[in-house]
Amino acid sequence: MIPLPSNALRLLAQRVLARLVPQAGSAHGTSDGAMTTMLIMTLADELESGVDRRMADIAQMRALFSTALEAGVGEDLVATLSPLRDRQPASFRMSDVDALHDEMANALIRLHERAEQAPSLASLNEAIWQYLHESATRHALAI
Amino acid sequence: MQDAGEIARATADYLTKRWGARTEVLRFEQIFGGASRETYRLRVGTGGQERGLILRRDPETSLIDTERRLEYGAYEAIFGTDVPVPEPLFLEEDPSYLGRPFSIMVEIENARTDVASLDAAQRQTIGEQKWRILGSLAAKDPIALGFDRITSVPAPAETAARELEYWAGVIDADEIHPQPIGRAAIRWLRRNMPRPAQKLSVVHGDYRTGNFLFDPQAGIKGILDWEMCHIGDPLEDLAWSLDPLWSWGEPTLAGRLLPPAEAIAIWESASGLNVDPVDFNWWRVFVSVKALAIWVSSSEDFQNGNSREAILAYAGWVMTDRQNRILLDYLSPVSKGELGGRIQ
Repeated sequence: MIPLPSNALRLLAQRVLARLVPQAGSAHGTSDGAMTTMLIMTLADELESGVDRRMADIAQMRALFSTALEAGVGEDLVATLSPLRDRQPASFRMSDVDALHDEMANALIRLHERAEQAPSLASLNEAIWQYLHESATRHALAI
Repeated sequence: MQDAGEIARATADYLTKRWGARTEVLRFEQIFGGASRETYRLRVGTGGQERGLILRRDPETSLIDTERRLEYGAYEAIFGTDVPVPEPLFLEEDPSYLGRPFSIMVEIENARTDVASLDAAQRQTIGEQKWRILGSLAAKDPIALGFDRITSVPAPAETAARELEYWAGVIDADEIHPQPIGRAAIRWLRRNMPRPAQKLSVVHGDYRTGNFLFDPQAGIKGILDWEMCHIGDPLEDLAWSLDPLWSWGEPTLAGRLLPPAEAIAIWESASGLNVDPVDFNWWRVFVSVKALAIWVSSSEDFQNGNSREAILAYAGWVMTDRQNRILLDYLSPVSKGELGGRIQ
């Protein structure tokens, strides 16, 4: 039976912390081992939920792009945002989801700058900040 | 050369040559967390006497694109003033001795960096001293100290723009993923530039809890990690010292030591300078962008295999997360101002 990867990583990290780190033989080795273990635990969480978090970001950015296109943001941005509004990741591999997430985030940065400058886009500006809060909360680390 | 025993033996040979007396390394251990330099604590015996030393060896890579000459030059310039620093002994740029360039300083003994276990009275004492020392540094003339020989001297009107464009450039060069919060902050900084520096000062560049050694009874004994020092606006150091990142979990105490308003008052008194709230807000946002750039850069180093140090991955991930939340707290119109108060 295939173990649940995130759970397996957590258990391995706990094993490293309990069995191997105490044998490190130096304060530096112990600290390095403890920090490495903490990172593995965080990666376990990312393995479990990372795609889901990015897809939630993508859905929210897509909604922001739709709002922007309806509000009128200039032809240059229309050309950037329109195709992204409907795009899906090439697969659900993390690298493909990341690639689309990054592309949309770059477009969002341009849109945010435009929204800051145009008084008519003040509510969009606020919606973008709201998204940035929600995304930061979604990705917040528990350590 | 990576093996600690080999580095210790080579260090003994080097000291024997420099001191002209046989020197033995009696104890040798790496200190964790020296992200900008590999740092070792050693005990040596020479001429029938023992002494503690600190060895700082260039890393394969680092969190900060540092200049070893700058750091060592800062120690030489500051040592002997009322800003306590370790006594610098040797700067060796010939990599044939230890595989990479390095410096050696006298160890500050019986001192630590972690303030977590201090009681309230000790926090007060150490905190007052921390910001008094920073104020004293701000009051000094960087040219009289000789800093113009180790770093450039900007015009007072250039300090903010110079720092901003340097660190924005680091994000441009090193970001693995887009930084929408950081980019919004950079745009805000460019729209709201502060007035020229009221004076040029030595800016430590990383003045925070964790970068000074103290004894709870004797007080602060040494300010460390000068590799980002430069001549600039003294408000930069004050803002960096108060960044909420250094008081994570205890937002009411700057650097886990003093309320921010009290720290600012002590600094003003010691420096003879004023903290204009509008200008200072600019520097508060700037130092968070600078920190974000450092975390972005550390991620890039780890990701690209320049270093496998866990602390780089930790900084690149955890600190970016926290720094973004600090910037949101400052700048977002929907912020609740929980980490230091909204700016705008």
